[in-house]
Amino acid sequence: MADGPCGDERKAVKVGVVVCECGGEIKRSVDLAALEKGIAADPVVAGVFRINYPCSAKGLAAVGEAISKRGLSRMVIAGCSERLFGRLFREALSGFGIDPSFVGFANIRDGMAPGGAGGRKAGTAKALNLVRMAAASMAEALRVEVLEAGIKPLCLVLGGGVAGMAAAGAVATRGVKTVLVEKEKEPGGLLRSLNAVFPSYRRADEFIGAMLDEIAGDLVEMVTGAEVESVTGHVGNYEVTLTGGRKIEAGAIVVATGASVLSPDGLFGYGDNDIVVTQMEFEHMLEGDKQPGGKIVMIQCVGSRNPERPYCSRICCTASIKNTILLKERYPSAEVTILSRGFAEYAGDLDRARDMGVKIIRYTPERPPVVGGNSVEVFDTISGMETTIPCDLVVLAAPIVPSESTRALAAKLRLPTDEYGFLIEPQPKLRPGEFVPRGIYVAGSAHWPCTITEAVVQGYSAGSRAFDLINAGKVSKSAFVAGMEEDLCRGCSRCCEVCMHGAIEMVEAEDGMKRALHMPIQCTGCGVCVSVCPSGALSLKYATWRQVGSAIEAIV
Amino acid sequence: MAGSKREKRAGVKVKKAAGKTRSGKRRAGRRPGKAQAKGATGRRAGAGPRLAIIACTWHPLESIENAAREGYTYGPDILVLPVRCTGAVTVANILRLFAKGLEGVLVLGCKEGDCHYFNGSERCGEIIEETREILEWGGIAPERLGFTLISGSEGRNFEDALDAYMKDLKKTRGRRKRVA
Repeated sequence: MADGPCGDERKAVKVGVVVCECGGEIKRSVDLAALEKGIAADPVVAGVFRINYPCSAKGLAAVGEAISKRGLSRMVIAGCSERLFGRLFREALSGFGIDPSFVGFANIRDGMAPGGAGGRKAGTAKALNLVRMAAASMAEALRVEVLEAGIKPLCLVLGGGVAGMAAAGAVATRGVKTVLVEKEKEPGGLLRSLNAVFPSYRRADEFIGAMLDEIAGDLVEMVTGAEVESVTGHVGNYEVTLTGGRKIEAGAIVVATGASVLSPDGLFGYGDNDIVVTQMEFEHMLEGDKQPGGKIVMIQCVGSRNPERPYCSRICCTASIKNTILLKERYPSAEVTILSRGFAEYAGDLDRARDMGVKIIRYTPERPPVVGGNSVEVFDTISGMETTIPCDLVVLAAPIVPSESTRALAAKLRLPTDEYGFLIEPQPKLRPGEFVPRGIYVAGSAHWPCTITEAVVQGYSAGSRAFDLINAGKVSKSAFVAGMEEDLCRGCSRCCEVCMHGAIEMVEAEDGMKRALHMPIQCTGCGVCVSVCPSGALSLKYATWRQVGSAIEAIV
Repeated sequence: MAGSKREKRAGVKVKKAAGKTRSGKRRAGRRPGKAQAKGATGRRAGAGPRLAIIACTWHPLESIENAAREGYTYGPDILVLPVRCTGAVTVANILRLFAKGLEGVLVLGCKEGDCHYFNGSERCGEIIEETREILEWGGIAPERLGFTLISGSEGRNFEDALDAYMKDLKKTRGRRKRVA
């Protein structure tokens, strides 16, 4: 890497420069004749050609002719931006035998060259510098090959909640073997502690049963009571060891390990005051034969939307209203007051609950409700008055928080998490739920608090994308990635710590030292590892140390 | 007048359409034409500060190219070096540019959350801090190494970043004399 092209490759280096006229556009700020002369004087450059519109069919033919005439092996296009015509030139020139990695660009058109204050003379000098830099860099460029790797035809789904079951179903119905790993004894996740689910008001166990029927069959293997012990490998070829020692070779991984509900210890007297319970506990109370309470106050946003946890947990409004409706259906005489800081819009049956006689009072975090022995005091922001509500049960809506097992898994798979501990993909807007290019997909509440409907949809989406990857049979990618010289690695592991794409792993070498192992198939080529490597072992294959160095030296 | 204020910006020149100021419009001349170039007075070639702008090819380079299309031109001694991600910018390469005799280096990265690769520009911030320390040891004003995160939607973002950096750079000039 540090040497640049060597041997025959070095002998074959012949850099040609095409200076584009761009229909007179560039001439305005650059003296093209002087530029050509300057470039020709550069010892790195083997030939320079001025062509009007090399991006046209006619121009490309002229470029091809020049290449074959002079036997050029590398080209620099001095004209417009790489962003605009990079792909066109790379594709067209590969037809003339020039490898795409040997096509460089010097942007002397869009603002890079117009000299502004100095006029054409200064513009020409600047354009010359830009071309010299590109040519010097191209002379040291290395050939980069397209990378390929096979894929193990098995999908591993971590987490047997709704999202996980949906994902497993999505993969298995397309005919790919799936292993579903659940850490509890039974699948179902958070759903198992609910009574009925929104929006169908079906019983939760019925719902879990239906989902299990969907994945019943030979293609889905359920492993319960197990967690991930360790993970090695890369996209298409992961080796996952489960607790208990079982090893699974998987091509893709769906992470649906879910979340847990915050225990609101110390908030509104929870733990000390017997009449204060959480919504989860209230769900169980509704299961019983006895009426849970005559006068009930529900407090929303307990422990969320505060400085510590500024996010909205999204599902608590829906859950509280659902529970209210279930309660009122069975015990119409029950009085329910919901203290809210404003309902999330998808709160479902809010109107239905209102019609049933549920009172809703809006409070502010500045004047939170105060829970007493048998009443709740609250400042109603609408009426502007302090109100005391008598009650015999206070139900707290606690938020969804990342579970410990998700945190531990994130560390093992080296997945990035956000400031709260939820998994966050590198491109939440462009590629939601995907850890590109890792073959890892995320669904459900491990990612962000979500409703059951959303979890199912995310599970289907993650599963079908995992199937797409496995079905392709192989992964291939352009090799605009980092490269590694193992001899130079000192095993400091800084690169491993900073790589957010899991492309670097520390492995023990023969001499017992730990060395970094770089897996190009998973590398995105961002170069973060390169900037922290103290020994220069890591380098970007498309912009090696030598390339950047010689480009800087070429500035006159 | 809007135009005159902009002309005062160091090392930066906005070309006005000859005879027309079109005051109130931010960018007067769309394309640098002959007439416009003639009207461009100011510093002679080579008189401006020699700078390198290391720009990430995703957001910042887009902003730079947009700026050019919007008719913004900058000093002839300012070279733009595209990198794929500012995360790959190394201490050594920045120092190399200073060793080459450049007055300043401005690194432009993508805003937090905009990084194409996840956290390249964030990482770059750490590298910049490290490099600034080294520059200080060497008696070079650390402000000569600029670092700004910009979004690529408008050329204006680049213009503002460069103007702000130029102002900082100007302040270091007196200090440089004292050190040397």
